[in-house]
Amino acid sequence: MANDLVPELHDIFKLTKFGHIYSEDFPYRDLVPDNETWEGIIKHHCSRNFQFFPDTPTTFFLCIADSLAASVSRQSLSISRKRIDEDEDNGDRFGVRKLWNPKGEQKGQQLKSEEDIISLMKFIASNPSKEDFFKRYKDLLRWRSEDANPAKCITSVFTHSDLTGKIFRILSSEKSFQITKNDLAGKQKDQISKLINDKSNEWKLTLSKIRINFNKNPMRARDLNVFVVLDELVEEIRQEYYDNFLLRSGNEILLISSEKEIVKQIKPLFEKYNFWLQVVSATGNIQGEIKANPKDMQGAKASHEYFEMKPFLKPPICEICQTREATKVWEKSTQRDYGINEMNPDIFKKDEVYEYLCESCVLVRNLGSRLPKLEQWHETQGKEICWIMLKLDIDQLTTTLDELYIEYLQSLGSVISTKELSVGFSVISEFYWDYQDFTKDFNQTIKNEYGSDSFIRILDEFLCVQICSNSDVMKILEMYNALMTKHFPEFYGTKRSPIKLLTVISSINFPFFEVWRIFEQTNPDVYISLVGHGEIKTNLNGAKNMLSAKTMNFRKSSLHNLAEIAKINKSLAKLHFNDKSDRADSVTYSQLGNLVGPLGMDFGSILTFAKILEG
Amino acid sequence: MDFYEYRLTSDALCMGERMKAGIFRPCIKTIPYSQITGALQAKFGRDKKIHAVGCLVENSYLNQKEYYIYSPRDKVMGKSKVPLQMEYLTDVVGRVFILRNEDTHESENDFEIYMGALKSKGFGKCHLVKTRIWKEGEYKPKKFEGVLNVRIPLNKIENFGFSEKDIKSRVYGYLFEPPDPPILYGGQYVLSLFEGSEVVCPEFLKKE
Repeated sequence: MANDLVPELHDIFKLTKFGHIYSEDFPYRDLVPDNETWEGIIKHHCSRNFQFFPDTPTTFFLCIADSLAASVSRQSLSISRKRIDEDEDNGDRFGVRKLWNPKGEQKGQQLKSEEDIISLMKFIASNPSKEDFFKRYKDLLRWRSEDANPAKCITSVFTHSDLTGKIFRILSSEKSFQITKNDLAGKQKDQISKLINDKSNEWKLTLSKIRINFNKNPMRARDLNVFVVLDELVEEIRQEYYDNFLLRSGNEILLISSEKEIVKQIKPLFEKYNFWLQVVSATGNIQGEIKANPKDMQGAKASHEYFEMKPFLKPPICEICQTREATKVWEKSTQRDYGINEMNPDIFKKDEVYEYLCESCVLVRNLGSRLPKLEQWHETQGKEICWIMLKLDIDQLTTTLDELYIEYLQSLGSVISTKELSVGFSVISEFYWDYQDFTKDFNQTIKNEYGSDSFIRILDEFLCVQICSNSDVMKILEMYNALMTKHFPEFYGTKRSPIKLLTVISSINFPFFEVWRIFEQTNPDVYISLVGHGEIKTNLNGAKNMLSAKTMNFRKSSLHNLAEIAKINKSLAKLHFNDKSDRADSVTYSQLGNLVGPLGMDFGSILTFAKILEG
Repeated sequence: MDFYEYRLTSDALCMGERMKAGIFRPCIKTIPYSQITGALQAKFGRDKKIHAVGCLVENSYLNQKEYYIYSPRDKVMGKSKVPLQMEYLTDVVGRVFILRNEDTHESENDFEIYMGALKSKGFGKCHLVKTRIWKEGEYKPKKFEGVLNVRIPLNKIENFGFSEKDIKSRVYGYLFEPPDPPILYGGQYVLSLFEGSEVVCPEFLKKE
């Protein structure tokens, strides 16, 4: 038998009309390859529906990995296996039902022709790698649901195969998960089934949600290099710990591992730049204790992993991170640094700006100008910039997907509550593909609108554009709304959206670390801040209504009056807003209030919105 | 261990963080141990053993951020220095907690202090009014933890009714500690627990 088992291919037959069950009457028996991957394809289940069962350590690991990578715990959901009564030729019944976008475009068709099946068999015989497999069948894999039964059809074979591969390699490479040929030799199917059950109860995995924080207060454009460093470090982890890496959202990552040590392993990578890690992790057995979010697992623990923090620091302290002694002086006019001991009264220039920095912050600043446009924009007069951040709230995501899943089950006639069931992390991974598509689309749309000269990508979810007026924020909101409706329409019906849009409009000189502080501390579904002029906090539907309100003809002078009064006193502006005696103004204000007021926007938000409408 | 709670009000307060980029000085949104304790010692005596901490009240109409541009004049050279943009808070309302001990047990019910930067420009006048006494039995930490809402040096936490073992997860930072005994110059930065840390501590120190 040739080559190692490639676990990603274990469900390849789901792409064909033969489905999952391989039997003696399979018409292409003469094409059956002699390799371990084929063994994995036919022997990764251990139940009465299947003729073959795991009889080697690799197929045993594959069987357990396959079960853990299922969208919903196969033990916990006992909905009848009835199929939707649809035309055989209609491929839709095998498509994925995305909880966040059930009516989204789905294109796919099972492989039915002899030519396709023969080609697939030859492909398996060629000992392909997982990359070959994903490249060749990606579209079909993303269309086909892992389990075609209603209620379980919520993840694709693509996501399931990718996760199964990862878990398989984690299990088979760790000494703590041991199974030998002798353990399996001579055992019948029911004995193997019991052993799988026992090992699933015994073997444990750890899920860790890690937020990468920095104490740095980026002040100059070059200090934003900290995001470049963050991006590079996360990419390094993704590559080095490919099998452990489940997803990333901004500065948050989700890892699965055989033990808690993974946090200790990655920590040194971040220490050089003074990043600290906020970790929530939980360990559970493979038999149903692993959830999509470690926070929802029993025994979840939160911890903060710091670099070495001295009990006392001698002044001066680093002005950027404020956690290290400053050992360098940075001179603004020459843009160079030198040791603090070299600083003497002879070289001290009266009109110079000096910054006291630590080694790590100087290192980041000296990485060179990775965001040159931002420096150029400092020279442009009269324009403002809009910082745009997309935030994926993983805690909210699991709650929302649970809610949507329960709704879906209820639509199928099941009586089940959120307490009884939660989606597996494969659903989160499935979501993540669409989220990545969404962020790509969002980046591209914004770039097309403003042109590459006025657009900077700092991270995929963190952009900066040069704008002409405050009202540009409505354009951005419009683009966001269009893409959210396309990719995640179901989030408009939920209490809170797991995806947040945060925007801050400021002058180019406004210190970035204040913007970052706003992003870190703010969490409404949609947030707009006009620095110095107020902020809007609302939800997705509120944002939709704001867009409708934008098209209405409000009396500009009334909006102007309101903004001017607010400059003197906000409470006075509120009185004027509710005052009915000035008929001309009050008509405008009640129109505005009726449109955005019922959605929970407070007066401050309405006032800011009025300022945007005023232009 | 009992605490006095005071309501702090101020028209304009500039509790500046360290200066950024030589031209901007942001304002912190809490009242750290170092700031309030220093201000109280300035009022009642540097030799007094005062341990106090505070936080700002969360209300969208209070504690509003404003900006003040300040350009220090160099009288010798006859020219102004690089202008400094300073953030400050208006309509400030906060809560201050002072440990009752032999130096504070007869503290006044109503007094004024000066705190923060730009005092010569009219900032920093604070009015404190005693609102209640927290007796040990009333605030005793409950078994569940909460999120800390104040900034306290690690070596002072025992003055606030909790210890290292009560800290579940830490958000670290540094606060300035003046020299002891007080002299004109000097001091150091001391490792401190910042807001956002998860601790088992008296409930008035936790985020509501």
